[in-house]
Amino acid sequence: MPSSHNTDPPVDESEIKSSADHSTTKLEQMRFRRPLRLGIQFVIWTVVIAFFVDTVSAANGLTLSGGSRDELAIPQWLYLGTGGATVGASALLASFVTDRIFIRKIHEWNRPLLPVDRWEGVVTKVGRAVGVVILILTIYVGYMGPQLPNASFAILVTFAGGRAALPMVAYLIGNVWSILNPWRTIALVLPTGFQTYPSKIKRWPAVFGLLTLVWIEVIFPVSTVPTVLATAIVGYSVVTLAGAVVFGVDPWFENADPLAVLFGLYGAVAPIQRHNGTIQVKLPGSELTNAEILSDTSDIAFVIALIWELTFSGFITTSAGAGTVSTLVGIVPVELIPTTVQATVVYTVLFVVGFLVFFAAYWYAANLSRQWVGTYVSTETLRRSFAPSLLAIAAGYHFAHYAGLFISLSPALVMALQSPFTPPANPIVLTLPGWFGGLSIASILVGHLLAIGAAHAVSYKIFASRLVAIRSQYPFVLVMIGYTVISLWIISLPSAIPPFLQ
Amino acid sequence: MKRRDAIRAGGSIVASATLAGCLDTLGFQTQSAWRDPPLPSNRPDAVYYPAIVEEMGMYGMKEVPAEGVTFALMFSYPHRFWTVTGTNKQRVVVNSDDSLHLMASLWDTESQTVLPADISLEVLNDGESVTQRSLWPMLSQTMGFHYGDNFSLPDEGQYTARLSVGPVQARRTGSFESRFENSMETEIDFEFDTTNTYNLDLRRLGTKSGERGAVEPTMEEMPAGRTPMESELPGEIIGAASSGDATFVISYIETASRFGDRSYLAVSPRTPYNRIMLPLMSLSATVVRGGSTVFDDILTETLDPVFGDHYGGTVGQLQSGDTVTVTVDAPPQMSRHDGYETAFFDMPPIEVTV
Repeated sequence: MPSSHNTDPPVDESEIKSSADHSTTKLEQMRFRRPLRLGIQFVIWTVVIAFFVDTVSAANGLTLSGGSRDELAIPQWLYLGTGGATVGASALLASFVTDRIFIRKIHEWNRPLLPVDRWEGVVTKVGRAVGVVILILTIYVGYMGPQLPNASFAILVTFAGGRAALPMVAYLIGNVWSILNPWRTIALVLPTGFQTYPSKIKRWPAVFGLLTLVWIEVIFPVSTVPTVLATAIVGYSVVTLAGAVVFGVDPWFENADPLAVLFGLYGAVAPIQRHNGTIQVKLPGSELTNAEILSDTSDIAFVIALIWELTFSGFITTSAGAGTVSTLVGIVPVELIPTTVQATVVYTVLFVVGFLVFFAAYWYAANLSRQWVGTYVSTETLRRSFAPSLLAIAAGYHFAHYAGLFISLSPALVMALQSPFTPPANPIVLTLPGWFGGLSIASILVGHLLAIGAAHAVSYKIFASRLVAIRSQYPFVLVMIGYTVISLWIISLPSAIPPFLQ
Repeated sequence: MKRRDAIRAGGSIVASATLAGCLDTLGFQTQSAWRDPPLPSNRPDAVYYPAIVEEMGMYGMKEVPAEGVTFALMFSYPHRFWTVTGTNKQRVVVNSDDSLHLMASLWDTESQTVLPADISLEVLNDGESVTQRSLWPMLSQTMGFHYGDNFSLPDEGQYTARLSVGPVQARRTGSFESRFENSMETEIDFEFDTTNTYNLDLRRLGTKSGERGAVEPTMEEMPAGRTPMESELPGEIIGAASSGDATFVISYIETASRFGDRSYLAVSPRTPYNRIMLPLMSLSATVVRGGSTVFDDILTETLDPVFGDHYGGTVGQLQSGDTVTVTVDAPPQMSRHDGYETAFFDMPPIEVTV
């Protein structure tokens, strides 16, 4: 158990500007509180694990195949093992890591990989060309090619590629979208910058854009009907290029383009980061302690939207979600309005209200945190500082939700990339073995752990006192546990096709 | 040296282990993306609208003038279907090497009556046999009654389909009496091109899927195997009732030479909505008059130019007040595509009173 109290440099303690005092009584309390915290975490995880043993993992509505869905039973030993390891690991995290120098060292550890300038030109050119070619092919094949989702280059590239694989690359390796982004490449050769981007709207357009994209994905059959997808991409291209032309390439893609912002933020979780012209290797998630990642409330809203969109699209593809939607559509007493319109309203309201609830939970966590520790640090600063750690949760849940989809569709994706114009007579997919469900759960727990770790480090950055630092995290940790428990619950539910949608 | 050897050995192991084998070890398995398309939840035990209906394409039609029959060969995406043995059904999923679903149909050219027969299909490439198998008699909403199976072809290209048919097993009456007694064979050339397959229309029925009902058969050039409308059946209709969601129209003919100049009971079962014939059933009937059974026998599957495929038996003169009971001893032994696989299994007896 920790001997770190003694090694903590007294300098830090004397620099404390917060109002928390350090009487021995408080330190005594702290000794009891830590076991209490571990106890609470242990109980929560045990309940979570006990509740979900013998359940099945979620799938996505994209694939035409529905038969393999209920084959993802998770072996009990794996569920228990993963959960147990997590409880143990979070216990270790909470008990060992109170040494602020150690924390700082962990989060600042990096190794330069290679300087950028030598190869950047070539890679950028190739990457941009690939991006533009794929965009053009996607639109063309979407309209002209086969209309079966599993055989469609457009659908496979967009969903197995853009929706599943690219974000995974972004948070597991590093953000490559900044190079691939075809709209940015096209905008670079257009005359741009006729207006100054209104700085007071910050990144709200990107938040709105992300929510709109997910809403379209839910309401319209973009993941099943290639022509609909191609139309959506054309629409997106028009808006994006118009925005970039009017406001300039960098202002648009840094603030208003949902995909560029999304990949940028997922990239913050990755072990490979770019700093001052050098590619560095860092520990995964350690970049999340960087307060510069998020600079405004709109950024926080975007991060919450990332978690919420995965939660929502996960939820509606489960039996519980489908049941909820059906029930809500059923209780609307309006007979004159067609069911599909009613269903659209229900989906939209659920989507918006859920996002507001998720956002409000985080918003008030910051208020609560400030009240508990009674600090001079503004609520706004607390909110911004802790929000990046949520990206690890989003990444974990994205992996849980999309890794299976990507692996399952990867043979079809490879075939589509090899011959975009002549699809195979019978596209091949992979079935996922039973243990894969365990991997999904593990990824959610790992994301949760990284988030807790990052929040821990952030609190030590902000507060000089260990006591205050630990107490300041409580509300945020509670919110994180809330998000994680909901995610775990969702992937444990049996899959269903969202009702009333095409 | 040892280290280098170890590396070399390791390298060759890695090289020999294919990615597929590796994935296989981990438990991933390849399968067709169309292995098991979505089924509506809460399917009724009746004919229902499937989640997806696919169009089919025509490879060719060929008449055999000597026999007065016409063959047709059609294609579609590889399909999932259910085979039926007795009252058991077995789901046949799409294999990863299935290239397409081949369908054949056979009918009397003049009357457009679809014939129940045993058809086998051999696919040849440059005169060399690629694959050969007996086709399943099948029921699908877009095609009606036909024969078909999923086939695996090595490549795109030119093929010949050799269709062979044995004599029609059902009893034949009227102008059909001396026909369809010979085995026949015909060849239809076709080009397998996946582009043609992908050009086939595919419709998602959305909220309608899972509801009771059926889409109309879509082929225009060829008969779907419909039975005549109730009003067009000869004789006196003594009843029409539903059993297992099939409609049974029962007709009584006092005397007709083609049925042996004796009173004839004709039972014409058909699908609801589209009146598709239901061959390959086992039916029997009883006639009870005043508490005593005056007729109890099986009904023989019979192919008649007017009735089409039906089940009949020579009963004595029926009298008013007689109770006719038709019992289904075996449901239609036909493979079913989506929308028909839950119907025509639990078929209670039908009772009508003259």
